[in-house]
Amino acid sequence: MSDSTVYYMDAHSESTETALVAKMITVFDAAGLDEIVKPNDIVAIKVHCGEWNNSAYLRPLYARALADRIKELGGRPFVCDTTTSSYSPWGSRTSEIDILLTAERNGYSSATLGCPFICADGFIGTSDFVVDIPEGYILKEAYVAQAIAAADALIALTHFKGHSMGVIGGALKNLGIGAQSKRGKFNVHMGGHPTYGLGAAGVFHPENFKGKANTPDWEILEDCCPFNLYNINENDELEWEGEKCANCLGCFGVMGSRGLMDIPPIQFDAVDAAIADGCLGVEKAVGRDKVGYINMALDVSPRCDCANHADVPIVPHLGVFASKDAVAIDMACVDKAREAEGIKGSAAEMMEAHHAGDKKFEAAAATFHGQSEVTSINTGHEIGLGSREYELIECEPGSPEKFRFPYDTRPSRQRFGERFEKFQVFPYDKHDGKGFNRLDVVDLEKVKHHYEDSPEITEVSESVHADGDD
Amino acid sequence: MSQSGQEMLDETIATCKSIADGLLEQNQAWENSIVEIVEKFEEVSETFFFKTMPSVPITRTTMREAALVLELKNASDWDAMDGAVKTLVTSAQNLIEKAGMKGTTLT
Repeated sequence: MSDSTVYYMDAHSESTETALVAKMITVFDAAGLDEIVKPNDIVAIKVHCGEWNNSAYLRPLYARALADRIKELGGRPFVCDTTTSSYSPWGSRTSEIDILLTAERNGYSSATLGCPFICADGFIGTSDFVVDIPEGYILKEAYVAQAIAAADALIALTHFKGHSMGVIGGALKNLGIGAQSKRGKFNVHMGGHPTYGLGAAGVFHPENFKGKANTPDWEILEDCCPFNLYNINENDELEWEGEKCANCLGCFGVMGSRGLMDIPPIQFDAVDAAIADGCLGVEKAVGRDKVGYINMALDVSPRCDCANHADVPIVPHLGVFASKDAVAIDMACVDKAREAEGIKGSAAEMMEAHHAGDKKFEAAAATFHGQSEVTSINTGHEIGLGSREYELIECEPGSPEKFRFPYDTRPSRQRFGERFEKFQVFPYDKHDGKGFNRLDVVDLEKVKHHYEDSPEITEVSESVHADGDD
Repeated sequence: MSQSGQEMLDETIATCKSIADGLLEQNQAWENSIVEIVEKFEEVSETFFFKTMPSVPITRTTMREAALVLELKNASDWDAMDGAVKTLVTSAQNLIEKAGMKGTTLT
């Protein structure tokens, strides 16, 4: 079992060394993740680059700063994500070409990251490496995205938030789903599973299809499935080849909302357990001592970054976490979210789960009543991936020198003295040395006053022009 | 564990039936509205929406408004009844519309 210590810094920031980027590097080093990277190591940084129009995903700045740190350590970083399975009929990351376009729009490119951004599971998502996981709770094999499996070391740089299927979207899900290839995702999502798959556990209701004539958007009923398993036959009846269902999830929104499919909550529970298995598969593919985790618990939205929107965060920024244990780091984040007061106006408040101590993700993020925010965590604990018992160590900020602009570390006079003089940055020769044409004194109280509280302001002073002309 | 959307809907239907019971003697329009709400709720009961967490806030609102109407009826507070029934009708309409889940994103 891995070291279950979690290194943590809160989200307050008031100086160079307490900037969230600085804190991320501080906890990375404190957790010993710097020791994972050896000179010339190819290091994968696994991120979620965000769906089209999602706005809660991690800013690329964090991946850039981490890539820079890895370069300092002698490693060769790349930042990556994987294709989706497709999750909806209109997904924006289902193929390599789509994910690269989406990532670039979201700010992830070699230009911003200072290293390549790649799709780790190939053009369509079949580029992978199969790992046996006899320890798995449900899964006995995992299909790990090839570029991740091929890396010498892996840092899961995770935006910690809620997830409608996983309940939490943390380190476990970043690798348990996000580092699997497309077919790996079908595996984790229970595609074809005899008990938990949609084909086995879903209840199809073709009797609720009212015919093409009464269904103006009937085409989407067939088009939502990339495997072409839904068909409206010559008798105007909806058919489904459920036994071939791969659990791409593309039909959930289409069929569930129309009463055509009862989506089984038990499938979600099984996926949540399998997420931990998938994560273990990734650790085994890369090397169990060559994987590190950073959780950025910021903008803690109720939905995953794979949604094409982002709701009001359910809790304030929780902080920055690092560990070698995927189970411990997610447990630490869940505990911090439980301790926090929920944000007013968020889904947590709407669900009346905004009090300190409430299980906010179960209320505000889960799709179904009864889903648990600790299923993946408990499964990871059971299979020896990590431990839900952890020690939380709060880190002291690092030295400010370490986090300043690195390209020229000299202070201002040394960097700009001659240039400021040469180009007359301040026009000392104008307006009696005052430089610019401005009033000397103005009534600032007049513009600071809250007129909605009282329409009148009692003291009014005169404005005086710099050149004596008022 | 807190109530699910379906459990809240079941409770709302039961409350509405209690409201409707004997209400005709007091006001036929109120009775008609409440009976119609019960019929519509029974139509959407057990649908996918009420198995999902997003059904909880709006169903809870409707459940509480129904409870208020029942309280007014039991207290014979007929002056406040008309406004409360109108509020319940509006919430019930919203809930029935939401149960269609148009535009709901599941992933």
